[in-house]
Amino acid sequence: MTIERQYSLPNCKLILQGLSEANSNPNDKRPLLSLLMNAECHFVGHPQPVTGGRDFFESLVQQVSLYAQSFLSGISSLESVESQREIVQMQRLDENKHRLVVNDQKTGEVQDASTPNPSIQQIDLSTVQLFDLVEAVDQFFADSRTLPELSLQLRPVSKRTLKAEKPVTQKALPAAIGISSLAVAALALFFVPIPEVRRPEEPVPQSQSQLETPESPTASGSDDPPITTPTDTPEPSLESNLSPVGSINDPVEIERLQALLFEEINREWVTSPTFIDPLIYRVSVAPDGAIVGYKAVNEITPATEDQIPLPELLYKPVGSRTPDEPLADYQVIFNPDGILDITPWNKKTQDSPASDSMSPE
Amino acid sequence: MQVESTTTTTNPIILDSLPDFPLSDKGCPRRTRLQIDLMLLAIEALYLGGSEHMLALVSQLDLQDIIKNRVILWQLRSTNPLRRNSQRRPLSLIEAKALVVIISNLGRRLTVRNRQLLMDYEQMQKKQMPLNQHLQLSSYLERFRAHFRSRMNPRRAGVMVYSSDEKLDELAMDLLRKLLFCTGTNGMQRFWISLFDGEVE
Repeated sequence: MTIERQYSLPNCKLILQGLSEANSNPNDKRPLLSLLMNAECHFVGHPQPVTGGRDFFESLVQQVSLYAQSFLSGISSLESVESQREIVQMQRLDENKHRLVVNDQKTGEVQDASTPNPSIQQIDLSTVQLFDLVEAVDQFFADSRTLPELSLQLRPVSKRTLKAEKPVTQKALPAAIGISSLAVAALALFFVPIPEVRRPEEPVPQSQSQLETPESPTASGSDDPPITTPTDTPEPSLESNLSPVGSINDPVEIERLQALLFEEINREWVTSPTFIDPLIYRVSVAPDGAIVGYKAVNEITPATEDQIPLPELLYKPVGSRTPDEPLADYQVIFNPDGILDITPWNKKTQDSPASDSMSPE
Repeated sequence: MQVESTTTTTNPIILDSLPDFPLSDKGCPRRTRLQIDLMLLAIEALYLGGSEHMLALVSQLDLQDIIKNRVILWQLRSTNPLRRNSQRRPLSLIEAKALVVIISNLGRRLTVRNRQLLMDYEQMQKKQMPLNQHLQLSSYLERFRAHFRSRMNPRRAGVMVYSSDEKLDELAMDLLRKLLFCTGTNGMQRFWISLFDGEVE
């Protein structure tokens, strides 16, 4: 006897036809559907349903499930990239359009290359329609009397799968230098001589005043042009070193990003430090405030780095970034007493020679 | 007799359907905290008196051990790094679970309205009609913008990207769509798992 199961939602109806095992109890009100013969998925507004056998159905529930997860998180895993070989594929067209592609060509079948492939079906779904499809699939998963061996398997996309999507150039960089997200940023940092490190004894009050100042220029910055002082022009030699990636030179912009960076790191630095020496980093920031790369200046062990939020704050390449966007570099010092110290990288390297030349008396 | 510190072993059953993940002592990742609070913000914009409904649900679902009062609820939400008064405290797994249960439950109550708004939005986009002609849609967007601007710190990079009305409307619609996906048969689990995408080993 054929058994039919239906999961109906306003925009989508999933119909499964199959058989129960021969030895099942005939008096069973809801016999177990254990052998799937045909699966149909109807969508409102599309006269032709998508249909297939067991392989099609397994692929459908898996791909729909993965797609729903990436829809919610905005992060797609390597699995969805590998889905090319799947019978069912899901693609995002725009924020409200989702494409379901069914390629029910048997993998082993020899195909005549001259004929166009008629077995590819394509249906564009709105978000509400997609939700109904996900819900139909979930109602199937919840039904223990239909193909109980197929169950909902959810797990987060792992960091490793995410990392695999980063550019190859970056993977080639030795991990010992520390993680640095954009290859360009890493490259730029590579050419810069390691600067002399100043201990943060003196800068506590000074750094605070530096951190306060950005507020006023950002608030009224558009009206008043920035006052140019000799220290505002960056040192030419360093500039030429940095030229492979455009750097941000506007002092107002540098101050704005410095304030953003401070806010961002300070907010996330929640664990109380157990390290004894200050941790000094060079951090590259994009115009939108995203931390696109960083590099330890002094020697820092991974266990120590776990205590600070830089790895967490590093921009993860979910969307796309232009490779040649201008960057601003800062020296970030995590002090063992919990005080965060941030200065523009140029200013930091200029400070000592500048103060020397300013005191000729 | 039970001691206060053992409360973690007697968590409400409803939270058991959400799996644990190994976390550092910094608690839930940044994106988790951000997404949870934004989703609650969308609910508030959709549902008048939303925060009162959240508190009512806390007692209905037996979550008082985790969210003792309104101040705690505010503190948990303020672990969102974009908040003006963002809290320097971690968000534990159990606290995040409680908030996700609340989101999913309130989301279910709002399913009918949410679906209607999303379908209407789509129609208006197709016909290129301005959204302000749709009373419910425009009041949702307006309330969302007001909530977002009053509570998020405009000096943070994550907030600056939403400086225009258009960008905030896009965010509001995006959250509305995601909220729908939190409501289904497995919506709560799906939402929970998605919060840790790219954050676990």
